[in-house]
Amino acid sequence: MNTAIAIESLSFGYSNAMVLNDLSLSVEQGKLTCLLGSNGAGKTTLINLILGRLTSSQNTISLFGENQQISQVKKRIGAMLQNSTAPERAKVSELIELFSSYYPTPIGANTLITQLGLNAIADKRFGKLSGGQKQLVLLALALCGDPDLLFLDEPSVGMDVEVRRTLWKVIESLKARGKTIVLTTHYLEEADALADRVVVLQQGEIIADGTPTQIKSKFQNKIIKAKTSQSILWLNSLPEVINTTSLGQYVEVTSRNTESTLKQWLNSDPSLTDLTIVTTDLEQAFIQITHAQTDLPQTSQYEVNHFQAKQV
Amino acid sequence: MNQLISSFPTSFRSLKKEFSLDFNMSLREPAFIVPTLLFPLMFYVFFGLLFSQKGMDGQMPTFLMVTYGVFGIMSPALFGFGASVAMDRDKGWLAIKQVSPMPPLQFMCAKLFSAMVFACAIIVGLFCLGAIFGDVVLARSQWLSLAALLLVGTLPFCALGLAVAFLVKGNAAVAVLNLIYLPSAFLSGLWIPINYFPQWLQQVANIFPPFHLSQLALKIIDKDIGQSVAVHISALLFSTAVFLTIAIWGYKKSQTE
Repeated sequence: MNTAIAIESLSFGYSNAMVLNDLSLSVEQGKLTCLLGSNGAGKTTLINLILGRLTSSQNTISLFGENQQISQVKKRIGAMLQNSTAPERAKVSELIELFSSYYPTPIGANTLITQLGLNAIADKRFGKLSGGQKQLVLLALALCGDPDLLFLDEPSVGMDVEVRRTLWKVIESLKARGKTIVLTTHYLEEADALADRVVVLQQGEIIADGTPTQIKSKFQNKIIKAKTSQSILWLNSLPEVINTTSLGQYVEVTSRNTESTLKQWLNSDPSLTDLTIVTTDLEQAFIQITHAQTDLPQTSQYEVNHFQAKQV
Repeated sequence: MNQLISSFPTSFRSLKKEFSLDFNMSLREPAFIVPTLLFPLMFYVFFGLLFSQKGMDGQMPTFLMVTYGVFGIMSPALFGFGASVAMDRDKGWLAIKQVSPMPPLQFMCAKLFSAMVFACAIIVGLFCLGAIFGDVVLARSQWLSLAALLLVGTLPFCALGLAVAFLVKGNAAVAVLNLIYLPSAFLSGLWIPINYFPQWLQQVANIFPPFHLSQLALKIIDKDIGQSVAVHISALLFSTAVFLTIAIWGYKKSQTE
C-alpha cells in the first residue's frame, strides 16, 4: 500500500502549551481516515500542519510517499477548513468556476454543480444560502481539482439531514474512486458509517487507532436500563458494574459483563420491568476511551453517563 | 526559484476570472461603491466648483481637481483593496485560497486591477467635472500625465491598505483605515490647499504619503509648494516599501493563524 501522508514524531506547540506530542501517523492511499477527539485534542492543528498552514521546527510530514512538501502537491489536494467561508457577494457558480481555474485537470463546474445538486442555487449569492448549502458549496470548492487527497474538517456542521446524505454519498463515491480522505467530525455515527480507520487523539497523542469495529470491540461494555426497586448502592457493589445512574424511575447500569450483572439483578429484584440493553456504539466507545485516559472526578463521570442516556 | 515561479498567476484565464469576480463583488457592495465613487466627485462639486470658483485667482477648480484626484484614488486603494483583504482574512476565505494552489500574487493582482479600475472612473469623473463646469484648461500632456500619475499613485495606498488588513481584523480594519484616510487627506492639503496652512503644518504634512503624491501631481500644473521631485518620489517609494514589508510579514503570519 502506498502512503498518502507520512508523519514522523511530529511535535508542535505554542510557548505556553504543547498541542501535538511526538505524533507519528501514516495514512494509506485510498482509505478514509477519521480523526476523532474532543475539542482541543489537536485535530485541526494536525490538519493545518499537514496543509502547511502551520509549520513546525522539525519538518517531518511528507505527502504521497516521496518526501514531498505541501507546496509541491497542492494541485492534488482539496480541503474544507473549519470556520472558513466564502465571500457573501459571490455567486455559487462564480466561486466554483474560479476555483476550477486553479487546477490543471478540474472536474468542471457544471459536472460538479450537478453532482452536488447545486443547480437550484448556482446563480444565488453565497450570502443568501442556508448553513448546509454553504457547506456543500465549500465542499464543491474542495473538490474542484479532482483531488487525490481530501481533507474535510468538520464538514457536516450546520448540515440538515438531506444535505448530510448528499455529503455521505459524495464521500462514498470518492472512496470508490480510490481517493484518500481525512475526516474530522463531531458526529460519531458519521465516522462509524464512513471510516476505514479511526484515529483517536487526545491532548496531542494518539490513544486509539483501528477500524471502527476494532475500536468498538475494545469496549464491550453495555448499558442495562430498567425500572427497579433495587438500590443504586447495591447495584454499584456488583463486581462487573462500572457505573450507575438513576433517571427518574429508571436505573442505568454500565456493565463489563451484561449476562452476569443481569442474572444477579433479576435474582434480587423479581419485579424488575421495562428492561433494555444497549450495545456500545462508536460514540460510547469514544467516550470511554477518552475518559479512561483522564482521571475524572465523580461528577463528570455522572455527566458522561447522563450524556449516554440521552443517546439511548 | 520554484516558489517564485509558483507564486505567479496560473494562467491568464484564471487571472481574468479572479479579477472579474473581485470587481463584480465590489459592484454589488453599495457601502463601498457609493462613498468611493460619489464622495470625491461630490466634494469637488461643492468645494471646488460651487463655493470657490474664484479662489486662487480663478485657479481653485484646477488645484482642487488635482488634490481631490489624490483623495479619490486613495479610497479604492485603501478600502477596495485593503479592507476587502481584511474581510477575506476574517472570514477564512483567505485561508481557503492559501490552501488552494492559487498563487498569492494572482489574488493581489486581481484586487489591484479592481482598485485601479475604480481609480480610473474617479479620475475620469473629476476631469470631466473640472473641464466642463470648472473651466479647467490644461495641455493634453498635462491631462495624460496627471491621470497616469494618479493611477500609479494608488500603489502606496494599496500597500498601506494591505498592511492594515494583515495587522487588524475585519471591520476594525475599516475603522483604522478611516482614521488614517480622513486626517491624512486633510493634513496633506487635499481639501484645503496646503498653501493656506501655517508653515509648521506644511512641515508636518511631509510625513504623509498623500502630501507627496499631491505635490507631484501639482508640479504637473505648476502649483506645488516647491520641494524637489526626488524628495516626493523617494518618500513614496520608502513608504510603499515599509507598508509592503509589514504586509508580507502579516501575510506569512496569517497563514499560520
